[in-house]
Amino acid sequence: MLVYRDLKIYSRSLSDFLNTIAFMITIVVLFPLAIGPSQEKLNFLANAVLWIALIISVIPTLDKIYVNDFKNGWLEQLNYSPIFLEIILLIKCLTFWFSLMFPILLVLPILSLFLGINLNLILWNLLIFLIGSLGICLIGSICASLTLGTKTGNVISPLLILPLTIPVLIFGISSCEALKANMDPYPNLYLLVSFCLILIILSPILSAISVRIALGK
Amino acid sequence: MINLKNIQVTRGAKQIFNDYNLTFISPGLNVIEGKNGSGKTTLIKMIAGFLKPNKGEITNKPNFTSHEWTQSHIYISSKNSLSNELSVMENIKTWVGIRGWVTSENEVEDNMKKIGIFAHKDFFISQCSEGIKRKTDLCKLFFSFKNKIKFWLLDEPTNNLDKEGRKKLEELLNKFISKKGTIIMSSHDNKIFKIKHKLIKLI
Repeated sequence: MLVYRDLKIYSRSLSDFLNTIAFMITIVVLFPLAIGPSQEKLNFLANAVLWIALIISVIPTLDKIYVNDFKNGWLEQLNYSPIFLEIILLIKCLTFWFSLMFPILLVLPILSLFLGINLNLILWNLLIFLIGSLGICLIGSICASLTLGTKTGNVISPLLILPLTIPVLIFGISSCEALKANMDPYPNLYLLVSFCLILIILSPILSAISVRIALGK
Repeated sequence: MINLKNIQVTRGAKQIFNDYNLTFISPGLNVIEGKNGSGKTTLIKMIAGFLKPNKGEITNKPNFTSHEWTQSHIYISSKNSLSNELSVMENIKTWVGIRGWVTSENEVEDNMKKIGIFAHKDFFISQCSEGIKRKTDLCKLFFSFKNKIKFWLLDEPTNNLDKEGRKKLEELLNKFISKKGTIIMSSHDNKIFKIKHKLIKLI
């Protein structure tokens, strides 16, 4: 019921997600124009551009995981579920991640080709982006819950999220670059997966603590 | 029975309650009256468990665990916990689902007819007036009788309600009290219902 509700809401308020995709496309399209006609430069920077475009376009939307439900009082009602609040918040975060990433993953292959990434690397890149984006959403869940009820939440939340996404950025880009250089991507990929697994446990616990504090204000 | 013993609550720089003691009647209707900022919402949120007092304790008899207490009451805030992107029917069904209760489309429709919002069942909440939104929130109370709910915590339930809505709410309150339910309700006007009640005045 929780997944059904959230998916219905996101499908009826698509403009936020479409803005994210539009922003990502804009960054990726403008970048080759900015650096000039150098295939070598583009090859060198392609993965970095995609990751930075992903992080910059996703971060502003992350506070929407909880803010509307907090303002309309729905988060209070979630306390009355027989399911633990931690699990509910994890489900909310995963539903948000799916709604956000599904359209992004549809355009990612096209953007990869636009930046000159090899066709045979695109599927691998998609997998690494999928894992990395999950990490970003879980970090976003913690930071969004911390800033609930504050007046400047939508300004502070991105500033909190940005430094915490650096491990995701480093491990994600390193995996993609290793693939491109025909080296073993698994060490960095395993680090990325481990980071995300730790977040899957920590994120709902920390988010639930912050939500309870926010509801008591 | 719910008791407040030596409660002290400070919100920001303001002390709302200082060494406050109170016993609510149970079963029955308890009406908390007070001007804006006197602490009506704070008191109800404390009883609901969202807010812990700085000092003092809230006890209930029989002794509920935190989980038992949550499952034994319905809390209706002044905010209308409704999503603008969902219809009236969808909001009610998702709330019932989140509570872990089983219901049918027919039961939801019957309850909507009782409170007078059936004609709006497929309207998005964003398209509804404040009165319809309030009635949608109050429709949740009809699910109490089947699901062993013993307490209602209502924060200004009569806001935006028309005369017919207040009449239906009064009938609902009477029905719940007749089934040995306990209601703790905040209101600006304790004379709004002709039901015997304990009046708690906050300064």
